Amino acid sequence: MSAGAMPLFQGPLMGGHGWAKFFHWTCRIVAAICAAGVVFVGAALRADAKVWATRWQVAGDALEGIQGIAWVLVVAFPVGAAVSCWLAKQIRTKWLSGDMRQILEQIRRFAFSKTAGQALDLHRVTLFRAKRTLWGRRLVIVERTGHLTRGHRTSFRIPVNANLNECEGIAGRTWGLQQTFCVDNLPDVTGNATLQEVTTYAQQTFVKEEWIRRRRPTARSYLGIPVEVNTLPWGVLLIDSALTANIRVKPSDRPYYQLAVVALAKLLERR
Amino acid sequence: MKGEWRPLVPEDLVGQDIVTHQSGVTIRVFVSPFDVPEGVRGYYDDSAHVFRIEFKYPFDEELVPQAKAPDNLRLFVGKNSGRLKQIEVDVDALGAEVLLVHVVPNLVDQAIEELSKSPPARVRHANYDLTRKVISNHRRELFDDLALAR
Repeated sequence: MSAGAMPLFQGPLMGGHGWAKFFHWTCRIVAAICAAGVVFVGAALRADAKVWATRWQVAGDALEGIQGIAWVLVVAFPVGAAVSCWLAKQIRTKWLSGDMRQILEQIRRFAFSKTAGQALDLHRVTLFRAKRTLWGRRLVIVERTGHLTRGHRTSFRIPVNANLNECEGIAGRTWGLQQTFCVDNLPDVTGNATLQEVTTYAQQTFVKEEWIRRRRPTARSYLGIPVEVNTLPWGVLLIDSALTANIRVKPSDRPYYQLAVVALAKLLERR
Repeated sequence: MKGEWRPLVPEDLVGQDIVTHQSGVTIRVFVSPFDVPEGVRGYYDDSAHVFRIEFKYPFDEELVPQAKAPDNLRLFVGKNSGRLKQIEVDVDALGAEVLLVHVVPNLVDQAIEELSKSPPARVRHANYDLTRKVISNHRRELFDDLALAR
């Protein structure tokens, strides 16, 4: 499908990050050297230094030296390999998270018709991931645009082997349906909302009334898009706005969302 | 010759939404972006003697044939996703007396409708409805190659 005149992704998506990549590859090379070192020390322990010394004095002396500190090397090399691998993964995750945040930011810029003069956190894009937790399988926040509500720990129940009605929230419903799910014109429950308004909000967003009273969500429209990785359900991209009729969902807008979630899925495949 | 992929146009997506209004709230359900093909093509495969319609998606996956399909027709869906990826029509077996250009599109349409009624483990109604609409919208270009089947 053609993207037409839609704004394209800008910035160093899946590119750039020169220093991060340099350190990432350095760590991987160090890890490989450490792994090879373990094999070498193992072989050195089995070799006879005196036999080698008769053929090649330097090799014999080196073997003796290695055998003398073998117990240090046997511990140091695996630890070095493990630490390097962990560091390489951390660096990679860091730069991919930066790319992911940039994609979410691009989606935020496209998705809302009106945001001028309003707080960024009233119109958000959140990426949820399905994760098994102590409280069962839930959709948990991986990344979110804005800065005020980034630290929120909101999660939604999506039980394994459950029916659709047990999936919580718009994100849960999107996960259950595996279709794009849009809810608009929800009542305002931030102020002195009536009981009827709270009930309507809870029913239409698939959460309990108690949850609405406690959280007082600002969003009045939602768009949930399922996210797949390797052709399997992975999570949900949730777009929400404090205004009604503010999220773009016309058929002509949808190719952009397709471009965006495919870019996101490709990035997540590399994590 | 396999022919060129034809990109979908936004009009292919119009009319696919399920819209409901409850207590003043508007709920709209529509196809997942992963279920929307990037392109479609139809061609006659000389070597296999079949007419084939293929859908191209953003991510490749293994094809699985669907057991429940009419005679002379085979449907292939994605192994994980259940998305409709390929349709094969054994035009030779349909008989020389049949006017292919009229019969084959209807056969294909009925087969996808059947697939919607008895889906595999993963339900993909929206994908099947969309592929039906795409075939209907691009009918003339897609079935051009049927003339070569004789």
